[in-house]
Amino acid sequence: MKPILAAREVWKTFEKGRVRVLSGVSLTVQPGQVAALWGSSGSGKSTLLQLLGGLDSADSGEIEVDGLSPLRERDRLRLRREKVGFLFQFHHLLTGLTALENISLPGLAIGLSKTETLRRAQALAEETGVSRLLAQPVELLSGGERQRVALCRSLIHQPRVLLADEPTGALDETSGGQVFALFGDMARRRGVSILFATHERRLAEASDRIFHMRDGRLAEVDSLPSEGRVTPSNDNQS
Amino acid sequence: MGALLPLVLTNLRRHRLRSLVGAAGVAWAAAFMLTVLGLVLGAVTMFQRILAEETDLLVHERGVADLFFSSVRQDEVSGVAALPGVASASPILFGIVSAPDHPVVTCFGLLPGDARLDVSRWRGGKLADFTLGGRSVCLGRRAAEFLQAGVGGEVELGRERFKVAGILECRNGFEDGGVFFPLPLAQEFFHRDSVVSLVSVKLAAGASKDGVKQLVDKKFDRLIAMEPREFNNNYAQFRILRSLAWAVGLGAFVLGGLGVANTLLMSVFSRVREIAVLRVCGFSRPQVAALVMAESLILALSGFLAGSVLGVVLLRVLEKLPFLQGYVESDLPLGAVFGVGLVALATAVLGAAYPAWHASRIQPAAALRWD
Repeated sequence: MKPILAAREVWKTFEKGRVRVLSGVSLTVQPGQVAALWGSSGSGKSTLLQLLGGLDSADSGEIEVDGLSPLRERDRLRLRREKVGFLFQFHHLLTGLTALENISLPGLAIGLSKTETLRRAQALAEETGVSRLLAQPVELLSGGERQRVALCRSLIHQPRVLLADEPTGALDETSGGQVFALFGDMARRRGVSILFATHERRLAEASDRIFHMRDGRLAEVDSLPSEGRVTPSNDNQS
Repeated sequence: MGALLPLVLTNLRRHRLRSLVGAAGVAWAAAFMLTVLGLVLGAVTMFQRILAEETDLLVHERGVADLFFSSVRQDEVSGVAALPGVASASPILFGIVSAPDHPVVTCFGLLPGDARLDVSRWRGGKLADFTLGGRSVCLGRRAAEFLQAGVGGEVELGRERFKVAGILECRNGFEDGGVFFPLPLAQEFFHRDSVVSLVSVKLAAGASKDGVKQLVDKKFDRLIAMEPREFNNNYAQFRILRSLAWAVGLGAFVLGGLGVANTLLMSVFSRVREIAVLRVCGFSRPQVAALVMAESLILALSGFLAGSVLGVVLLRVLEKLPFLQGYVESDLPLGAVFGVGLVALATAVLGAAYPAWHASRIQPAAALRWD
């Protein structure tokens, strides 16, 4: 089967080549799979997700998401509009807007009708259990509720792939587990493939596939090394 | 773009104070420009009305930039009056003099039969008191007020004192705040022996304006005849005044535009991550730029509307101020308001150009890298 997400020999440096973040990373994710990108802070997880999602461009290498290579700006825009949804550790909801307005943002960007946007938003909110909060300003919501709203926003344009960067990293263990289970269920029901970055062992082990990222290099592993949980950190520079 | 409007409005609402400051800059610029334009155009209109009163053609010295320096000799006045097709030729001498506590008082030297005196309402004295050989003057109603003079009393103008023979209520602010001299007295007082500033010509029924203009051209090398409308468009002083008003107003708008640019730049700089999130959500660069541009246009539009109201109120207040001696009679044609609106629009576009460009170039990955 053709992979929904593929990266081949992807290299990325910052500071005019002085800081190498990704060193020839290759991976594939099949349709419907949930894959974990496991590694410590600074290993390059976030950078890889950003490249795969068209938020940045690689120095070299090939990336293909559902048949689209995000080489040019307009392809990267198309990727974000049609192929991928993003979920961040710090939800990145816009304050001053209600939950519904936040969820509707991708609909505004792609010119979805108000009716269709509302229909999709309500369906997603129902599934994530935030339907009663749609009219609330997001600053009044709890951390778990905000992340659920962010999940709705990442799926409203019906992407093929969900890229999640430490989606439970800012939540306590219980809320994190609930959100993780929720976004796994929703993605499966909708046939969305997931690639998520995490340093939490239990989340990685609950995935279909595990990619271990270390110092900008990636390797697929059957199981995680026995040293246990990687030290969590809010420093998300990778 | 219409679909993005709620987002634009929400953002303006989220930063109320900043939005208010931006709109206030435009409002002040619009109010200032409308006030200056209203005053200048009002003054020009008043002066034009003086000239156009019962007038088909204005004859004055060719090539003078200011009517106060125009000299039409007595023989030329008689010559114009004798031209075929001319029903009457009324000479007028303009002068400016100072009075105690009033540095500028406009004066008009007229013949007793001048139409301006006929159409005014006499509040004291009578037309018959305005005699060619007399040494009395008549005052406009406002002039009588600020010079504190009444019929039968005296008024000090320059280094002389004149008896007040009458007080007229004129339709025109300049005239209402002016002093009317019998022409010979004005010529003596202003040291303009046997000359006038211009001749107001009334044509006989059926006479051709072009024909009379050509006759003036042919017979008087020094003179030129114009219809009031032509005069308004060509008179250098009017053009200078109008240009000055627009230039001063535009200067105010440059400041207003800088205020808008500053407001929007602050808005963009403080929302870098938000803009990055919008890009992640699928907003294109033009859409991001359009959001900033739309914010600017709304600020400018609301500023322009508020400024227009403020400008009209300011003009009304200025018209009522006693120390302005009734000289202020604002004239704000729709064209001028429309022009100020266009300037506000241009200000919005120019003020938002760099912030919009900057916002559209924000790299989502770089902006979100540092959480």
